[in-house]
This record gives sequence, C-alpha cells and structure tokens, in this order.
Amino acid sequence: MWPGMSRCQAGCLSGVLAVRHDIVRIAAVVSGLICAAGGLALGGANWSGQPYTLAVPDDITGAGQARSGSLVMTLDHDTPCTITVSVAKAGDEVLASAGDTLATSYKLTGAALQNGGDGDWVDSSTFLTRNYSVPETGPPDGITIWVRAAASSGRANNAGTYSASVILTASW
Amino acid sequence: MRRTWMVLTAVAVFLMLAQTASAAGSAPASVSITATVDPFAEWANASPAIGAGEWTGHVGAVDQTRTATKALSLYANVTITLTPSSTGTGILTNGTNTLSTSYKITGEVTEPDIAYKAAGTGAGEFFAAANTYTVTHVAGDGSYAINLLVQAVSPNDRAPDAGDYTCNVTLTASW
Repeated sequence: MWPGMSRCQAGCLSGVLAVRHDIVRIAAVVSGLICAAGGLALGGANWSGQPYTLAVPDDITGAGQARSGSLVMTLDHDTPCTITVSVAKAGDEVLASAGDTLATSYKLTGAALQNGGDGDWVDSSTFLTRNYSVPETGPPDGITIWVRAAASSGRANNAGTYSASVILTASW
Repeated sequence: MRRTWMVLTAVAVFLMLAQTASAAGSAPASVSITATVDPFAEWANASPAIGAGEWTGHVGAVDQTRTATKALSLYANVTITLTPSSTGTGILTNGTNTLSTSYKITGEVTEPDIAYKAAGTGAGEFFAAANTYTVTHVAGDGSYAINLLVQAVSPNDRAPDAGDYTCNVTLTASW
C-alpha cells in the first residue's frame, strides 16, 4: 500500500494485479501446449520425407511390355484435407525420353484416402484431374503412388531412361 | 472475478486457435519418376509360316519357278545383325524329292539382296556364316520391314513327286 492510497484503492489494485498474474499464467500454459504439440497444432498438413523419387524396378525388354512401381509418401496432418495432382509443365506426367514416350498410368492408394483411393490404373491425363479426400485427421498417413509404364506394342521404344514428374498437393 | 477472467482468457485462446486451425493452406510434394527401356529386338511374329497359298502358284511343270514373299516386322531399338540358319538344309523337300531352293532378304537392311542365294552353307550361299544382314536403328523408328523371299524351281529333267514340300529358315536378330 503506497502512501496516500486509500484502503479501498489498495484493495482494487491488488485484485487487478492478481487477475493479470492469472492471465499470464494461463497464456504461458497454452503457449507451452502449442509448442509441445508442434507446428501442426495450428492445423495443416505436410509431406515428410521429401524429395520423393520413384524408380520402376524392372526394365522394359520387349514391345508391348508393362512395368510398374510404387512409392509410399507420408502425409502429416491434423486436419482433413484434399490431395490434388498437377504438373510443373504440360506433359510432365508422361514418361518421356528424347521425344519418345511410354504409356503412363497412375494410382493413388492408402487407407486414409476416402474409399482407399484408386482401384484401377488411371491414365496420365485423367490422373491430373483427380481429387482425393483425406477425411480424417492424423496420425501420419502412408499414401502410395503407383506408376505403370507400358511400351508401344507396334514397335520398340528407344532404349534409355524415361522420366516424368507429378506434384501432389495436400490442401485444407 | 478471477474465475471470470480465466474463462474469458481460455475462450479467447480457443477461438484464436480455432481460427488458425481453419485457415486454408496447401503443401505440395513433387514426385520424380523414372523407368528404363533396355536395348532389345524381337520379331512381331516369332513363328511365321509361308503357306501353300502364298506362292505365286503350284509347281505344275518341269523347270518351273515359283516364288513366295514373307513380310516380317522386326521391332528393334538398337542396330542388329540378322543371321539366317536352318535346323535342316533349308531345301524344300518331300520325301526324297527336292525342289531347287534359294532365298533373298530385302527391306530395311543396309544391303538387301539383288539376286537369290542358293540354300547352302558354301561361299555366297544363303546359310554361309558370312551371309549376314545389318538393320541400322534410327532413334524413334522401332519397327523395320524385312522381307524373306523364297524361290522354288522344279527339276528340268523329270517331274517331281506331287505333294507338299517343306523346309524351315531361322532369322536370328542379335546385337
């Protein structure tokens, strides 16, 4: 109690200081919880384990032959989200090498996807139009991307390494 | 009073978090994909046959020449060597009777035959070890037309036995 302060004023000041003290304590506790839970406590999604590279394990050794491979990607999220497919530039979705191409198909599967994702191969252009719903929140989910490369049936494709790239974007 | 402030503070923090959690956002991931095509060659039809109806006609006289052409497609993405061979003699045979048999390779080989080469392994003959053909691969062109031509000539001093005359030829593509 300061000099000249009435008993009533002193009581009020004491109450205000006590409330401020509680606010600071509450804020500290909440902040601590947020930090402990990590950034995702704020809501969102993130692909972990990048960069992603998918090499089809078996080579094509004959006309009309198809080979496939898959890669499991990890989606960290604490909110429902939607996965869309895009490319950096037109045609990137098709396996190509020096002007030659392989018929390219994709599938996206995973228990976290609504209905488990694709049941069958999707041609590369249709794949770019797909939306995949991830209706639940975390924990981290494995999303598997599959690719199938099919050689031409009426000729031999050029020998070499064929490349493609797609972008999977999780939005919420 | 203290309880009121605590409740108000908690509600405010909750609303702030709820607002933040519902904010839209996106996270992209790029996937690089590779697949490999090996050098290879294969025939579109690995077991073609020349039927009786594919000849220019049946042999119906002495010293008569008949021919047949079999169009083959070779799928290749590498320059290859074609080598003819036969599990037998490559001579059209019916029991003990034969027709004089010769062959030509034409089409997309670097040096197509001009004249028929006799079925045999001697110098200049069709099955000679040195008688090979090159198919030069051009990038982007993975299909090559190869023609196998067969010529049968009946003897000039007698009538061969009537019936079907058969033989076989193997064209092996190697690289």
